[in-house]
Amino acid sequence: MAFSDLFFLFFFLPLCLLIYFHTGRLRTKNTVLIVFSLIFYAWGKPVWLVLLLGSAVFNWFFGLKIGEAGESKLGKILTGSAVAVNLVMLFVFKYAGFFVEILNGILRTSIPVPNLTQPIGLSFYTFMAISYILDVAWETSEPQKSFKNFLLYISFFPHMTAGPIVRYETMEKELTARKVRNSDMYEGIVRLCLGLAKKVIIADGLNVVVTSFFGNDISGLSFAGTWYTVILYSLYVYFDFSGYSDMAIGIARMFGFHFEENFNYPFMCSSIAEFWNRWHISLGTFFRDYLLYVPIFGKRRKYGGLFLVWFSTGLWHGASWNYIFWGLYYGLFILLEGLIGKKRLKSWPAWWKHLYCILIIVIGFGIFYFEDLGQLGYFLRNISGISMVLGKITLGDIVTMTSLKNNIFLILIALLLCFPVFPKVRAAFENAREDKVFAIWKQGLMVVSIILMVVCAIMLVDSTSHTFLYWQF
Amino acid sequence: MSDSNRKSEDNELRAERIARRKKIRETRRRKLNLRITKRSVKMFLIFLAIMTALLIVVPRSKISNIEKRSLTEWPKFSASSLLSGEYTTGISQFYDDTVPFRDTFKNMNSNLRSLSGIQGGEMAQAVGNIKKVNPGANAEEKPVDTTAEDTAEDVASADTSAAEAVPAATATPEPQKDFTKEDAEGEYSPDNGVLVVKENGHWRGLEFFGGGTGGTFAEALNGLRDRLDSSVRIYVMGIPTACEYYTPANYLEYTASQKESLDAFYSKLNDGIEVVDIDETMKAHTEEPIYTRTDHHWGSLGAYYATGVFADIAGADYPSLDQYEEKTKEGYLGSIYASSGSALLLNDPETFYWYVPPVETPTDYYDTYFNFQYSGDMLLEVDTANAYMMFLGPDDEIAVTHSSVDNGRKIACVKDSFGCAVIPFLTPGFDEIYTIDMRYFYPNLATFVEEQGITDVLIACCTFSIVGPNADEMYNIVYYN
Repeated sequence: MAFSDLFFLFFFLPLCLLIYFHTGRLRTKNTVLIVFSLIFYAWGKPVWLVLLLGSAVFNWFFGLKIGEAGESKLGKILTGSAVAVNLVMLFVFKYAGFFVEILNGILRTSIPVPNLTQPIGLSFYTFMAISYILDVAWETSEPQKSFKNFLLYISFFPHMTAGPIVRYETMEKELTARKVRNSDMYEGIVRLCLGLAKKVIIADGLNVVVTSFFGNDISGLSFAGTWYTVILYSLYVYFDFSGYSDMAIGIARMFGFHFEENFNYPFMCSSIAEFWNRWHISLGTFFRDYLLYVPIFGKRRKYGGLFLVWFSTGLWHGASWNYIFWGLYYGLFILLEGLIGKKRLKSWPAWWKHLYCILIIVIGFGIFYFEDLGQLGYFLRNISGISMVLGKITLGDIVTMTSLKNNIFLILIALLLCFPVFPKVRAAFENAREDKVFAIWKQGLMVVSIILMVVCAIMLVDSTSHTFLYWQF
Repeated sequence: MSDSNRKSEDNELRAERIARRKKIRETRRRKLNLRITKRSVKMFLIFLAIMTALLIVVPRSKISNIEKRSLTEWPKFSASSLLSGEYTTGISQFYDDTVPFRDTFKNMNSNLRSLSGIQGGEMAQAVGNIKKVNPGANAEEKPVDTTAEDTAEDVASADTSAAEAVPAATATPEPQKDFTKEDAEGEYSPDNGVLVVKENGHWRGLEFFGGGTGGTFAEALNGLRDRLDSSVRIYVMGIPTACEYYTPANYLEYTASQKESLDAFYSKLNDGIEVVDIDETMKAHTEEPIYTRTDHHWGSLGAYYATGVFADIAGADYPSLDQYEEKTKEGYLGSIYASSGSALLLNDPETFYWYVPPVETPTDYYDTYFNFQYSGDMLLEVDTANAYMMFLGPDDEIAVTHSSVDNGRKIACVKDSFGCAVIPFLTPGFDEIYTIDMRYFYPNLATFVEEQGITDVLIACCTFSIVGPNADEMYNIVYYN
C-alpha cells in the first residue's frame, strides 16, 4: 500500500480516522493505530510482519535491559550487541548479495549469491531502532516500559515504510499524552494534500519524462538531452521524496503527532554541507549523531568519521557501487569545503556558490540514477561534453526540444516550488491586518487542498499504484 | 499638572489603548481562525466521506474500452495468497483499477497532463522512448540456411489454376504527398515512444520502428515452402506501419526504414515464395485514410489497396471499391491514444472506415486447436471503441469464412492483427478463407494446410511482426506444434 494510492486515500485512511476518533481513551486510540499500522505494513507481504514484530520485541527488551544496566560494562555489551543485531539484519537482507558478489570478484570464487527480497521499510525502522537503543544507552531517553507504545513508535504507518527516520524523543511524550486540535487536523490535511500534489502532479509528471530519456541506453543521448534529463531527475527525486515526507508528516499530525521536518528547500543551499542540512534531514542527523564520532580512526578521527558517514550514506541508499560513489562524491566536497574554510566560502559571490552547488547536486543525482556502471560512464561522458567532442553525440536533438516545450509549465512550476514561495505567501496572508484577507486565505487554502486532492485522484486513476523512489530503501 | 507629566500620562494612555486594541484584534483573529479551521476541517472530512462512499457504493467498471482490456477482478482467496500478500495487494489493485467511470477519468487525466506545457496548435507531441535509430539497424543478419527441396523450376511449373511464372507487377501508381519530406513539430509522450504530429489538419500518433531484417521469419517461411507441395502457392505481404509514410523529415532519424527492412527480409526468401510488395501502392494513397490516426493499425482502405496488389499476383477476382458498401463509425480512439494518453488525439478522434464485401461471408469459429466453437459472420457488431475488432473478433480464434464464390480456391491467411483487415477483401476471390493468427495456432501449419486442402497461403503481417517476437511464433507453427 502506498499513500498515493486510491485505496489508501479513500478507504484505509478514512476508516482509520473514523475508528480512531470514535474511540475514547488514548490507550485504545493507540491500539487502533497499531492495528492499522500492522495491517498497512502487512498489506504487501504479511510474512515480513514477523521480522518487524521480532525487531520490535528485541529492541524493546534490550532497551529495558540497557536502561537497567546503565553505563556499566554490561550496558555497553548489551548496547553493542543490540546495534550489531540490527545491523546484521539489515546486512543480511539488503547487502548480502552485493557483498558476496564483491567477494566472488576479489577471490575468484563462486559462492552462490543470495537473492533475498528486502522487506519494505527495513532501512527506516532498523535505524529508528538503533537510534532508540543508543539514546537509551547514552541516557538521552528513558527506556519505554510499555511494549505497546514502543511498537507504535516503530510501526506507526505514516513513517514506517519510507521515513522520515523519526527519533524516539520526537514521539516519546505524544505516545502517552496528545490531543488533536482543530489546528492539527487543518495543518495535517493541508500538508497531506500538498504533499500528494508534489508527488502525483509534479514528481510523477517529471518521472515519465526522465524514464523516456534515461530508461534505455543513453550512449546516443545528446549533450542537451543528458543535462535536461538529469535536471528533471533531480527535481523528481526532490518532489517525490519531500512530497512523501509531507504526506507522512501531515498524516501523523492528523493523529496528533508532530514530526520534525525532513526537507528544507535544499536547492537554496550555498554549500554542499548546507545541502545536507536541508536534504533528508532525518538521515543526515542520524549519521551525524550516531556515526560521525565513532572513535575507530584514532587521530584521523575527523577524516575517518567523514569517510564512514559518507560511505554509509551512499551504501544506505542501495547495494550498488553507484550509491557508494555518490556518497563518497558528497563526502569529497564536504571535505574540500572543510579545507577551504567557512570564512572563505562565505566570501564567495552568492551566484557562484549557488551555481557550484546546483552543478554538484545535479551531477550527483546522475550518479545516483545509474546503477549500471556502463551507463553511468556514458552519462559522465555525455554530461562533461567528452562524447560530443569525440563526435559520438550531438549538442541537441529535436526530441529533447519537443519534450521541453511539451513540459515547460510543469518544469517552471517545479523550479519555482524549489524556493520557499509558499511559506512566504502564507506568512503574508496569515499576518494580514484585514480579517477578510486572512479569512479568504485560510478558507481558500483548504479549498485548494481539496481541489488538489481531486486532481491527484483523477491522475491516480490512470495508474494502479506508484511506489515512492525511497520505497526500496 | 505640568506639561511633561501630562505628556507622559497621554503616552501611557495611548500605549494602553494600543495594547487593548491589539489584544482585541488578536482575540478576534484567534476566534476567526478557530471558526474557519473548524469549518475547513469539517469540509474536508465531508469531502473524504463522500468520495469514499461513492467509490464503495457506485458500481465498478469491468472493462476499459480505451485500453481494450478487462479490468482487475476481485482476487481469489486462499491461505497461500493471503500469506504471500497476493490477496491483499489484489484487493487494492482491484479498488484502484475498477474505479467507476474509469475511461472518463482517464480522458480527464489526458487533458490535465496536457497542461504541462505547449502542445497543440501546430506544435506536435512526442510521447515515450524515442531514440535515434542506429545506422546499421537494417544491416544483414547471419545468413539463413535456405537449402530447398523443390527447385526453382519445379515451383515455377506447378499447376495451379492461376499459376504462371511470377506475374508482372501492375504499373507503378503515382505517389501522393510524401509527408516524410516536411518538418513538423512533435508532441513527445515518454512511456511508449509515440510522436503525435499534425498532418492535413488532424493529429496522428506514430510509433517508430527500430529496424531488423527478419531472419527468423524468413527461415520459417522457407521451412513452410519446403514442407508444402509445390501446388500450394505461398505469398508474403509485409505491411509497413504508418511511421513509414507519415514521419516528418526532422524526426526521420528516429525511425528505421521499413522498406529497407522488408527488402532485406524478402531477399532471404527462397524461390517459390511470392513477394507482395505494397510500398509503392501505399505511397500512392498517403492523402487518403489508409492508416488509422489514433491506433497502431492500418485502415480498411489501406488494406483494400494492399490486397489488390496480392490479388493481382494471385490472379484472384478483385472487385473495385465502389462494389463494397462503405460504413463508418465516428469518434474512434485507438491503441495509440490508450498508450500515450495524448490529449491532442483525445480531442481529435477519427472516423473509422470499413467496407462490407459484395459476397456472403458466413464464418465458422474454432479454438486455437481447431475445435469448432460457433458460427457467425465475418464482420462483427462492435462498439466504436473496439472498431478494429469487427474483423473476425479476437485474434485467438481460428476462423473459416465460406464466401459465396465457387472457384475451388481455398486460402489460409496467416497473420497478425494487421492481417485482419485483409480478410474481407479476399472473400470475392476465394471459396474459403482460413484466418489464422500466428500467435494463437497450435496445429502444425503445413499439416493443417494439407489436411484442409488449402491452395494458397498468404502471410500478411506488419514489419514489427516480421522482425520482432512474432517471428518466433511463426517459426514454431512451421517447425514445431
